[in-house]
Amino acid sequence: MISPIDALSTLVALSGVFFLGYYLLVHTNYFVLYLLALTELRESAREREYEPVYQPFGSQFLPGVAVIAPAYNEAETIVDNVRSLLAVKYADKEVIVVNDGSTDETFDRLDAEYDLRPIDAEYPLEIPTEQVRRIYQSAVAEELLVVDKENGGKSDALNAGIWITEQQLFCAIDADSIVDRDGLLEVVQPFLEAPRETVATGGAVWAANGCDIQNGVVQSFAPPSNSLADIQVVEYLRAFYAGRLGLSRLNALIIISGAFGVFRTDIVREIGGYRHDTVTEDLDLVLRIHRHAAEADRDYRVEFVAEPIVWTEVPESVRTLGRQRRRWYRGLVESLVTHRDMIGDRQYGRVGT
Amino acid sequence: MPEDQGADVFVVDDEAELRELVTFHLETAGYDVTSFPDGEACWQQLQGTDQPPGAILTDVMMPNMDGFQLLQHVREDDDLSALPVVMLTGRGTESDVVRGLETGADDYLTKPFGSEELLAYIERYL
Amino acid sequence: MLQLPLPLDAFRLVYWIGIVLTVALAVLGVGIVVRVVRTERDHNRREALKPDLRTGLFDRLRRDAPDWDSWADGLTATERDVLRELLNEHLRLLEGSDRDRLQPLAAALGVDRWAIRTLETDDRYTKLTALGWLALLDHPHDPTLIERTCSEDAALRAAGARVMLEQEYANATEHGIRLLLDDPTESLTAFGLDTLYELTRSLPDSLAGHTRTRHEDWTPTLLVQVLRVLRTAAPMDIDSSLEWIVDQCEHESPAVRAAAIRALADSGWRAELRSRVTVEALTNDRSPAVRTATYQTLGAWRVPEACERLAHAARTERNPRCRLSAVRAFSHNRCHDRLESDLQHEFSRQWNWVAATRRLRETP
Repeated sequence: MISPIDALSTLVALSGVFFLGYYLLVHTNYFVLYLLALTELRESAREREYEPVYQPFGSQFLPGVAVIAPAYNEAETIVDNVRSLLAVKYADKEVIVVNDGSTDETFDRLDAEYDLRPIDAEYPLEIPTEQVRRIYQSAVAEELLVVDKENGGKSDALNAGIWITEQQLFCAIDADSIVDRDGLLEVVQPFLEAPRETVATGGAVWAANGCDIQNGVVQSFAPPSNSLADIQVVEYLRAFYAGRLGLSRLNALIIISGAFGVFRTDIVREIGGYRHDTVTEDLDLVLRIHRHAAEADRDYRVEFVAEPIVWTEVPESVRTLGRQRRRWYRGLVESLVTHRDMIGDRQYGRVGT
Repeated sequence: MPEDQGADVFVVDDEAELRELVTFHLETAGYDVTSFPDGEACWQQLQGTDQPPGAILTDVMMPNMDGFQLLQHVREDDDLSALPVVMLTGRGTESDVVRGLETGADDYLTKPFGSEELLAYIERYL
Repeated sequence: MLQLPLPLDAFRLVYWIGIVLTVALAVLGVGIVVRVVRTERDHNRREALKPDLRTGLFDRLRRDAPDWDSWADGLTATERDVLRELLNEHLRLLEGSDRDRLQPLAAALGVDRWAIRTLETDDRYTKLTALGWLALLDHPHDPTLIERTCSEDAALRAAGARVMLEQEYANATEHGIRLLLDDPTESLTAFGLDTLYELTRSLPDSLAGHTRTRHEDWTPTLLVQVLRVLRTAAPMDIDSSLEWIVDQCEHESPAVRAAAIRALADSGWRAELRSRVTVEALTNDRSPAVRTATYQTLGAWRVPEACERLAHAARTERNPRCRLSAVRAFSHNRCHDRLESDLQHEFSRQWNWVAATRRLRETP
C-alpha cells in the first residue's frame, strides 16, 4: 500500500522532472534559434556596412508604395503624424490617411493643413468595407490622399486603403508610429532582388521612448528613462534580432511585427484583405499569405530586414502594457486555432512546423 | 561673375555632407551662402527677409517641406516668384524632371555633380 | 520515498553541465560587453576627429598645390583611417574635376594599392569594399583583373561591373553586361540592377542582343529583371532586340509576359513592331497582371488601332480592376470622337473617376 506521503513526494519529484524537461526543451529551442540568428546577424552586420557606390534612392526600379494610416479621432496628433509620414524618403510613395468615421476634428485639421480637394467622382470599383463617403487629394502635398468613410474599425479602414490604391506595394502604419526616413527604401530592397517571389517583407520595430525626435524624424537613438520601457527595448531587440532572424532563415517568418510590414497589394486583395474578426491583424494576414502561397504551390519569399524601420512609443505603465500583451496573446492564440490545420502539415512547409 | 557685395545663394538639402560641400564650392567661387536643412526653414527665412537671395539651390526629398512644395510657395508669392530655383536630385527620371519644370523650376541637376557644373548653373542665374 | 528508476547520477551530471554552461555564458557575456564598450568609445573618438580633418581637406582642395603627401604623413594611423572614410564619402558626392583633384590624396593614403591587392584575396566583404574604391579612383589596372577575381556571386559581380562602368573601360558595356549576367540562376542585386541600367543606357541594343543568345537557362526572375531594364532603356533594333522581347510575351511565366509587354511601351511608334505583337492573345491572357500590363502598353502607344482594342477589352473584361485600367489607357489615347463618346457612356463610372483624378493632378 502506497502511503500518501510517498505518493505526494513522488508526484513532486515527477513534476520536478517534468518542469526540468520542459525548461530544457524551451531553452534548447531558443539556443538553436539564437545560434542561427547569430550567424545571420554577423553576416547581416557586415552586409550592412557595405555601401555600394550608387544612389539607391535614384533607382529606376523602385516599386510604388502606399503608406496606409487609419485614423480614428486623432485630431490632436494627426497633422504631426501625417507630416512625419510625408517626410519618409521615397520617391514613389502615396500616403493614404483613412478617416474612419472620426467624430472629432480629425478631418478638419487635415483639411486646414493640407488643403484637401474632393475627387469629383465616385470610386468605380467595389470596396468591401463600410461605405466610403468621399476621397480627397491634397493640393499642397501631391502624394497625400484622404479617404473619408463610415466607421468600421482598423482592419476595415486598412482594407479601404488597400482597395483604393493603385500602388504595387503597401504598408500599414499606426498613426502614432514613425517610419524611419530611410526605412522604406531598406524594406523594399527584396522586391527588387526577387521581384517574382517576394510577397512581403518585414522590418524591425524599435522603441521611440527616449529618442531625440524632431519634426517627426528620429534624429538619434537613446534608451528610455522609464524602466518598464527600458525592459521592453531589450525585449524588442531580442525578439527581432534573435528570434526573427533565425526564423527568417527558415522562411518561417510568421509574425512580421505588431507595427510594420510591406505587402504586395494584389496578393492581399486576393486573400480578402485584413480580417475583422481578429485582434492582431498582421499575424493573421501573414499566416493567410503563407497559406495562400503554399497552396498555390508558388515559389514565394517573406524577407526580414534587420534595419530599424519603424519607431513606436512603447507602454510606460503596467496597465497599458498589460492591455497590449493580452491583445497580442489573444491574437496569437486565435490565429493558431484558426489555422491549426497548417500546423504540422507538410504542404505548408516549415511554417507548419 | 558674382556681384561686388557677394550675391546670395540659398542652399537647401537635408544631407549635412552635401550642404557643406556645396557651400564650400560656392564660397570658394565668391558667393555668399546660407544653407537650410529643409524647405520649411528656407521658406521662413524667405518670408522674413527683404533681401531675397539671387538664387535657390534645393534638394527634392526633405522632411517638413520638400523641394516641390518650396518651389510652389516661391512661385505663388508675388515678391519672390521670379527667383531662380535650381533643383538637385539623386534621381533624374523623366517624370521628376517634368514635374519640376512644370512647377516652375529653372533647372535640374542630378547627383553626383561636379563643382564646375554646379557653378555654371548658378552663374547662369546670377 | 518510492524508489524511482531515475539514476541520481544523471541529475549530478546535468548539474555540472549547468555550472559549466553558466560560467561559459558569463565569460562570453562579459567579453561581449567589454568589446561593445570599447568599440563605442573608438567610434566616438573617430567622429570627434572628423570636423578638423574635413576642414583640412577642404582647405587643401582650394590650393593649387595641396601637397597631400606631407599632410598624410603627418597624421596618426587613426586620423589617416578617418580621412579615408571622409575621402570615400566625398568621392561619392563629386564628379569631374573635383574627383580628379582628390585622386592624389587617395594615392597618398595608399588606398589604390590596397584595393588592387585585396582583389586577389578571398575575403568577400573586403573585396566588395576594394571594388567600391576602384569605382571611385582612376587608378590604372588590368582590365581582366575584375573578371578573374570577382565573379563568385551577384554582389561581387555587380560591384565589378560598376568599376567597369565608372572607369569607362573600352567595351565596358559589353564586358559589364557579360559579367553581371554570368550566372543564369542567380538574380541581380538592387545595385546590379542599377548598374545594368547605367551600362545599357547608351547602348540599349547590346543588352537585348546579349540576352537573345543566352537566355535559355535563365530563371524567370532574372528575365523579369532584364526586361525591366529594357523597359527604361528602350532598344531600337527590331530584328536583334525587339523581336526577342516580343517572343517573351509568350513565355510560360505570367510575370515574364507582363514584363515583356511593358518593355515595348516606348516602341509603339513603329508599325512594324506593333504588327508583330500578338495583342489579341495578350488581351485574353489568363493572368490579370498580364492583361493590365497590355492595356497600359496600348495606352502608351497612342495609336488609333489601340483604341479599338482597348474599347473591345473594356467591354469583354470580366475583372473590374482590369477593366478600369483599360478605360484609363483608352482615355490617354487620341481616339476618334464617336468611339470615345460611346465608351464614355458605357463606362461612365470608370470614365468619370479617371477624368476626375487626372483633373486634380493637373490643377495648380
